[in-house]
Amino acid sequence: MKKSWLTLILLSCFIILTLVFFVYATNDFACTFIQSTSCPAGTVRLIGLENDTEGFNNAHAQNGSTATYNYSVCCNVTDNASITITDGCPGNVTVLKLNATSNSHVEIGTNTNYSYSVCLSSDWKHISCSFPTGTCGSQACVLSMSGSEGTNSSNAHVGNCSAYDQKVCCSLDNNAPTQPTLYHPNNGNTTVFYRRPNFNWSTCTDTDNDPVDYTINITCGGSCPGYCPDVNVDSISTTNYTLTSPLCVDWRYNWTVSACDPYDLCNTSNEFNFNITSEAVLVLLVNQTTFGSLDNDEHDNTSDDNPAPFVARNLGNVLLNVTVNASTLFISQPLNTVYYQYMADDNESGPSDSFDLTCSQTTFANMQASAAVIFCNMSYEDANDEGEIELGLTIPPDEGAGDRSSLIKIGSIATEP
Amino acid sequence: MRTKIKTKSIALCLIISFMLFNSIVLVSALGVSPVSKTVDFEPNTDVELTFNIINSQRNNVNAILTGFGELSDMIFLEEKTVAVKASDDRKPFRVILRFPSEMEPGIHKGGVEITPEIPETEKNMFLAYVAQSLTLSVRVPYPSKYTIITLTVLDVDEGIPLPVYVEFDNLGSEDILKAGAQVELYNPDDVLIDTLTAPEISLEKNTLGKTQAKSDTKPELYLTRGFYKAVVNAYYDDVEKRIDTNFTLGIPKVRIRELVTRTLGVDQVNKIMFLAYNDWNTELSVQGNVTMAGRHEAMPIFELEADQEKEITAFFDTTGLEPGQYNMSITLKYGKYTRTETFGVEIVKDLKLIERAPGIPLVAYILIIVLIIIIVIVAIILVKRRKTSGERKL
Repeated sequence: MKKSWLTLILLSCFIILTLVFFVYATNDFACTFIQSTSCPAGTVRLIGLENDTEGFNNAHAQNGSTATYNYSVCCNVTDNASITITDGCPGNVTVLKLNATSNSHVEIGTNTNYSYSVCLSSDWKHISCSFPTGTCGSQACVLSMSGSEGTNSSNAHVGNCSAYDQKVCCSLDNNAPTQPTLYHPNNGNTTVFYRRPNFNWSTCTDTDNDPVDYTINITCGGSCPGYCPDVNVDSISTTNYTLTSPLCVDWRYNWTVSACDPYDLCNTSNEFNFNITSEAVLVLLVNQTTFGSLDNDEHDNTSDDNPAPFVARNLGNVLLNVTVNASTLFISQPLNTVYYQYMADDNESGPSDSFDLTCSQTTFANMQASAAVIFCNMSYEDANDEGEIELGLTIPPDEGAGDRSSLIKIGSIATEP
Repeated sequence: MRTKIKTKSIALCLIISFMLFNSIVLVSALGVSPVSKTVDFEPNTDVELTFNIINSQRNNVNAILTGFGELSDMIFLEEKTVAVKASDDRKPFRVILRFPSEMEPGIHKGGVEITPEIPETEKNMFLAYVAQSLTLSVRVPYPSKYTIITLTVLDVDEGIPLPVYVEFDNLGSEDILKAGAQVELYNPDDVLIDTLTAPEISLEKNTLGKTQAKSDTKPELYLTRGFYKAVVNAYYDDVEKRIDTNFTLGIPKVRIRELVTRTLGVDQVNKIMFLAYNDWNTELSVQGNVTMAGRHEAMPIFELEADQEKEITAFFDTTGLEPGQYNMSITLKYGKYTRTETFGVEIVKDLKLIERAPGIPLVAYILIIVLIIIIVIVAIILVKRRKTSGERKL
């Protein structure tokens, strides 16, 4: 029996302590009545007050800067001294209105009968006030008021929080921006082509009128290879974002956007997913050429663009290895001789630096019947996705007269993912 | 009447044939999507995969499909020739992989080549066509525990923390309970830069997992552009593996810091001198050429050590060029990279070679000053001594 009583007492203590902590944690803004014409450093004087007997209940009020009354209502943030509360108007909120700068009746800040406003502001988050009858709930009680002519919310005297039913309650608040709605790439989209897609979402607003910026978070998941890193970009001021580095193909990406205010209070969108499906597309912008008439031992090649070289373009969204092989050209000489050659070159009249020079064939090599790499890791980026396939001919000394032709196969295979 | 219709039909057929012939001859683009697929080996089963032929140029084309590689015996094609119409942006086709009862463990690769049907070429023509391939991979698990370990270092700009990942591809038949690694980073001269630790992860069978390696000594790892070596001492459950690899950050850069020669003589071979700087952490072999007024002059190959600045001499023949202002381009090629810088130069009639007068070496100046100081000191001492001896005489 004794043990159960002890348990009950301990449990009650725990609940009370938890409640006290919770109330304290949510009421970091506070106003106190002080018997002084001024407020201590770190607090701001909301109003001065005094009654006929020089007490603080049923009192008249004066504004904060008129320092003649014996009592002051002093406000501050109790758990963070670096937050400064000021009383300039309009401020975050009009707490009260006075009919004179001193010896004044008061009305609640939302009324419009009196012309002298008493305001509060904070340099971190916002102060908001409400004027309930009864209790303040989660807000801090600033003062209470009572009128003698049927209404307590105007033409009233001031007292401490336990004096009257009409309360003035304030708190330091901040509201998150509205939740973003994701637009593009839409959820489940598997037809995204560009490796640097443009992401866009709805404009978010903030009820506190705080500026809103956005953070985009694009994740590929733990099973994604290391070369497909997650993307997290913050401080985006617009409602769209284009990636600066390409994403990987054929992996499912999840993306969210968080709308955040300057106090890092954010609202995150629902998660969308998409997939960039790989496409390998090689186009020959020029796919036929002719050398005209050449004599025995005469050499000509397409590197001076006369005759025209073949021009290849990577129109897909993956790196390509491009190979070349051809049918026999001469009667007197087989393939894989110096008489019929090929090489990779930049397209001088178009994008350049389109392929990896360390593994591409950048000097003339003998044309073969089997495929050999000409462009290695040919880029898909629009700015550098073209290359020239140069042909070089030397007519063999014993080649007879007549027309010659060759069919050239340009093979293409993706080198990623 | 009947003959007329027949004649018209033949003419129409010829026109259509000619149009078809031309459209087929000019097929110069083919694509495929997706470009690859990876499947897990299941003994004695068929796996059906769908791909799309991309007809970006909207041609009428008969695409011939052919399996290749070590999987070619398992590749079965529903249609060996796919008729793609000009109205088809994409044309799907199916590939069936027919697995045998067993395969060697590992990753087996093969593919399908898509080739347009090409008619005979014209007699004096070089005609090219595109054959696009897709890749198929089959993963066959190893018995017990087996992972493929890879080091991935992302190429980030200087000033951004370096992301280093160790990847474990669990190709074994069992789950991996713990896999981790220590990574040692070295500069090109094998000097240890830092050691990193990749926290342990667990992997289910047939999954890929990555763990980010972090520096043991610094909160973040920063490296400058260059070539680096890495040793990965990895482990998974009771197995240890060492991997030696290397990576680069950024690309090598050779800068021309100054063109020394700005004035060239007319009708002569001019020496062109410039200062080249190797902004990379390994030696680079550089070749290049000087271009002006459409003329190219190759320069001898030169070597630049890491971070070395060197005066390089090239030559340019101005014979036939009028005096005046010109743009001179110096192109440097090193490895797979090319860098061209252009400078304003002048060709003049009378090139005066302003040679610096033979200078007195700095050491000589110092010796002269020291000598003067010694003479002065000796003189002062002598004067003082003479005075002292005079006083005694008095």
